[in-house]
Amino acid sequence: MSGTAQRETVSFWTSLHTGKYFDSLIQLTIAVVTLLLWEWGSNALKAEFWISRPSSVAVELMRWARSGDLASDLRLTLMEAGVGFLIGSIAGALVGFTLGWVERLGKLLEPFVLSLYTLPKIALAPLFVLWFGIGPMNKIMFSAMLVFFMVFFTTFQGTRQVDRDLVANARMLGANRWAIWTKIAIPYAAIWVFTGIRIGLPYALIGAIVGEFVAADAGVGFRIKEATSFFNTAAVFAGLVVLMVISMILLGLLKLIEMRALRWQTASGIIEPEVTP
Amino acid sequence: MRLTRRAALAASLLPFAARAQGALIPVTLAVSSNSLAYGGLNIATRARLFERHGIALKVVVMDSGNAAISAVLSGSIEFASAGPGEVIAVRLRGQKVVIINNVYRGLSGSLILAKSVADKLPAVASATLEGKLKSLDGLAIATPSATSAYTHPYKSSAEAAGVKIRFVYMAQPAMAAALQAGAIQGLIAGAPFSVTAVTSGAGVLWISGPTGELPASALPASSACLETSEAYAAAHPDIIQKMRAGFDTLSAYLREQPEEAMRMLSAAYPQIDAPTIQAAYRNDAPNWGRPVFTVADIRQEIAIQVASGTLKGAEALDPASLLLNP
Repeated sequence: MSGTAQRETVSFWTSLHTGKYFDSLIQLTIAVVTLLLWEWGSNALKAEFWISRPSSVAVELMRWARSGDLASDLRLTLMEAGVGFLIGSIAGALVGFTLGWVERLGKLLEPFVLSLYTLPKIALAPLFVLWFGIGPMNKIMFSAMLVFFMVFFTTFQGTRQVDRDLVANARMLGANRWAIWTKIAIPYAAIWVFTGIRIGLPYALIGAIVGEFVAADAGVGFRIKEATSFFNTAAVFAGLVVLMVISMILLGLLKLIEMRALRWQTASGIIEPEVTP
Repeated sequence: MRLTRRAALAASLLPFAARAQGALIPVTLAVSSNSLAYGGLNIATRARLFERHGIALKVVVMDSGNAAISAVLSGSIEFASAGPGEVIAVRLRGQKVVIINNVYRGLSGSLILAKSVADKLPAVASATLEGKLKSLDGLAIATPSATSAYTHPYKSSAEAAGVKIRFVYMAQPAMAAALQAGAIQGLIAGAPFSVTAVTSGAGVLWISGPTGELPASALPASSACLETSEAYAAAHPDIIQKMRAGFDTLSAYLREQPEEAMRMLSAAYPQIDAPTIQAAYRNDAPNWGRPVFTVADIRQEIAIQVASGTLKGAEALDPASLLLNP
């Protein structure tokens, strides 16, 4: 082998080892091995009733898709979780920012919000049926409540950490309230808001699914509960797989939005100085 | 006076004496709800009828029959009580769960329709069973689960009348409030949950289960039966015998001491008023006191499940294999 060819081979392997493709390959291998182990273990231990197996889950997913219910159930659950997520995020960010910014108000209301936060909110699910019925509104509001607290607390903490000296200096230099909010407070709190939103996203799905568990006549949660009635473990796992895929896609989308929205910030949350041409 | 004191002392020491002899075997039974389908069972535990056969029975109320049977399959408890539909469903998944005896014969669940819906219907709709069933078309009716003993009699009767009900699965205690809030248009539940919905003014009794208003071909042989795993039954035939003896004693108790039994029932369901308890006792006591479950009964259950299309493949099951020592 010539020296050039050898160098090329080495650089190919080096790039494969250090590059992101190699990590993806490892991740894919882990996933495949896990699925194979699951399939083999279920057969070997005759445990299909208890843990199902990937091939049965795939069959259930196909059956669900062919019946046309998968699309309609997904649409419904995504709508409930999505609208709940939006309401919860917006309300959480607004209230969190207000209480974090207006110190006196924050101190006054913090114990009340904290006590609400510590409530085991899942226990409220049956009450939501009473308040909002069994339709989508029940699941939307339940999701919104779960997301609200996640976004509220991170925004509240983030806004409280805004550098008050920087605000005072800006005021001295003649910045008005609007300028302080838009140039200092909101950009400072934004990274915290996004952290809350990222944590809150799975909670939106949890809210929709719990709501569908308590009372529903359609949706992914309803199908999982129905499958439980028939002791159909494979169908339960099929529902869980669908939820996992939705969660991953939504988190990916959120990451993209976050990267675009916060591209002016460094990873450590420090505001980059404006570059003058 | 001295005699009374001695009697009181003896009575207070009785449980300790029984425990010292190691006579009572602790046994846990998970039931699918706290409805009056389990009224007889509650009377038996309050009257300590199982203790007469050496069983210290602990009853745990679960969310559904599936949850009760799952608890048995997990091995954490010994017995479950759910409808035969749940047993058929779990047998179709290859799990060896067997029916020991009946807990409630016939259908204990009634259909309660929202008053607001019933008021809008023409009088002719409530005149016949067919009219009542037709008026349910497209309505959201709550029922405990897809395989509940309450679901398929109404489902198959409605479908026979060309009607499709939108079933909503919900635990029975939550149903009355959901009806009152207008979240559902009807519910299928046993007393006291069905009674609560009517007495609150939110619903009207539309189709009565216990009085046999539905066609005989759609009526289940049982709303609740006693079940365990085949392995447990094989390993503990003595306990199975004691449990069966407890239910036989309940039958005799209901027959011979109705006043006392009604008092026990009142104590078990303090939220129900005396006239309702008396009416429930009149309706339900005959169904609590018939513990025998036959192969013909399970054959009927399978036929109903097959007819309603709920459990596909049920026709292939051997009815005798579902019963313990039929």
